[in-house]
Amino acid sequence: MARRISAAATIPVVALALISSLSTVAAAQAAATSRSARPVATTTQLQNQRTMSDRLRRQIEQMRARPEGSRLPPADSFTVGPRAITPTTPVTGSVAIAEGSLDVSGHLDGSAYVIDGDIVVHSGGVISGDAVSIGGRVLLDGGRIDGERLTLSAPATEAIRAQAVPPLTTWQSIKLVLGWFAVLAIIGLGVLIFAEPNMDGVVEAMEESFSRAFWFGLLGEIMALPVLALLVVGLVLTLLGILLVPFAVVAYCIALAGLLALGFLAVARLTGSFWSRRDARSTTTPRSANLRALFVGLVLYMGLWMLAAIFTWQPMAGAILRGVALAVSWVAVTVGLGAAMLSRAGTRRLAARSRGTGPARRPAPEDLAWQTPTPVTGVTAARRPAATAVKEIP
Amino acid sequence: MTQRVRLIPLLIVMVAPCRGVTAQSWRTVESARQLHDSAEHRVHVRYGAGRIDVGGTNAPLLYSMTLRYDEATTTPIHQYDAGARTLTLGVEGESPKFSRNMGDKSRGEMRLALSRSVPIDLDFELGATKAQLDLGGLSLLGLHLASGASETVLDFSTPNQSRMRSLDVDVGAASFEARNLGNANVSAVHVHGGVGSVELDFAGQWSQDMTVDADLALGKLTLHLPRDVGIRVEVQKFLASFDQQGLQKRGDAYYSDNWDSAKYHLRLRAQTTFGGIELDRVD
Repeated sequence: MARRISAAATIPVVALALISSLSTVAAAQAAATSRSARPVATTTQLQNQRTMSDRLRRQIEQMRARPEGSRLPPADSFTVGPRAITPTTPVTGSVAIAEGSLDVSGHLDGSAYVIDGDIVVHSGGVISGDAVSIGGRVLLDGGRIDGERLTLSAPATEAIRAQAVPPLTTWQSIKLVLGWFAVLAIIGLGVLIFAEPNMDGVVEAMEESFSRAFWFGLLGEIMALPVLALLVVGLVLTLLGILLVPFAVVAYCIALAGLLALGFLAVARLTGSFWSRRDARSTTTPRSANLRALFVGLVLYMGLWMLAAIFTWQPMAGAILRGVALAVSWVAVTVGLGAAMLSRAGTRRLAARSRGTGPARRPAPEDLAWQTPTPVTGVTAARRPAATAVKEIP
Repeated sequence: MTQRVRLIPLLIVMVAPCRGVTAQSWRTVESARQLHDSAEHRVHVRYGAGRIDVGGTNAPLLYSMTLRYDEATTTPIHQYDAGARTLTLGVEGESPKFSRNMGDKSRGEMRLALSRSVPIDLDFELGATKAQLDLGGLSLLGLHLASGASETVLDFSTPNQSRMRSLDVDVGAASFEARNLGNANVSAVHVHGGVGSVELDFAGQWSQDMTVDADLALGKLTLHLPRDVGIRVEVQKFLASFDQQGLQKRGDAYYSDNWDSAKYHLRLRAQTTFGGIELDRVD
């Protein structure tokens, strides 16, 4: 009885299982039939799409965004690698491939688009639409192209690369500031060695009247271009001076850059000297004191930019700090330029001193450091050697 | 913003002049279209700045164009309307009338070959270009040329295969030279010039009488006329000179000696305000 029940129960189960398996097979066969009915190209295309790199996809989309690439199909329509259309496998619809050539010896009822590859239409081959090759060629080898034959050179890689350049990182910004600090320090060292009297003159002009130097510098910045234009016009009017125009423009730019550099370095030295005066009792030469003041000043000004660079990762704070650094630096440059102009790059003071009408050189704080206010226990203060007591300009 | 970190104020002035140059990105496009029939086509060529060379081709092509252009400022045009049989070629993006006048090396270039087998109504719109248009051997039904500040040479080196309805030239501040207009196979020529020099050479194989209207506001109009062609010249001038070159005045016009006996005749109406009109009889 139990076996009968079991058999009776088993039969429907088996039947259902058979039906189920048959339906599964039928479905599988139907699916297989459906797949086999698709064009071979589509299967290949799906396989190739998996191998399309993001770089290539981006490149195609960038080309499509341009006017000349507007007719390109979407990146998903492209297959990667070479492809052939033979007489036995005619294709209906457009064909798009990348990084490979298209050989057509059969009939393509549509357009052909190839990126970084050639389109070759062999004898008997027909493309009823357009044949577009970007970064390759379109060659007729006995075939026919009913539409347009278009060859476009590959887009400039610089343009694509320029769009993809990421902003500088915090570390890169810091390195840039350090690099410019080194450059300025080297220039400052050179100025101190070869043109220290000129820098002294600029510093004194600043000390005489800070506000005057600022307004003069502002005027200089505003008038820089008009003066250059006047210079050029004046040379042109003289006819013979036309030949000198290029040289005059270059010389003017160099002179202006030199004034700016000298002025900014002088401002940095003056700013740094306020900190240096704290060590007024140290026994150093004026030049080393000036060098230290210059170095300290550069650290202060570049420190603002360094602070901004450190906060590159934080856009809001970075922008504010850069604004502050820019404003402070602009004031410094303006004052420096004004002082350099007032002192005629430091030469005015030199000329006055050579005539003996100018003020005596202001001793550096260290020059007076050796003196004691009053003799102690009846011992007079020692005299410093004359060569370093007051530095005279010959 | 990060660039400001590196551009400290001291150096801004030093590098500023170097940063004002606009980047250019040159590309080349080659476009051609196979010839399907010999029906009449209308071809419009628009080119703003650069060098353009146009000629004919015997290849089974409607046209073949090679174009070098700056993709930062211009976009190539190669449109064909098969239904209207209209072809538009060239570049767009720069105003032809006000395009930049740069050196040849930094300019674009366009080379165009048009089919000699197809009747064409040709229309040029050129800007600051250096144009060399050799339209000899084409089958032109009409030609209209408008150019701005250009240096244009139009040449019919071989006879035009079709009878041209009209030849209209409208040049601005330009140097325009037309050679072998006798081969143009045209009955009416209109030349309107602004400022510059216009030189018209009527050599070639004449096939019909020709009427020429030449109007130049400021500049020099030079006409090279074959001796075997009868000439009739009407001149309207103000503060301008006119060299008669042996022409005889009858009524309000100047005639050549062979006017009554010549096979072909040229009727010229020349008008200029400031400048001069010069006739040159050539063998």
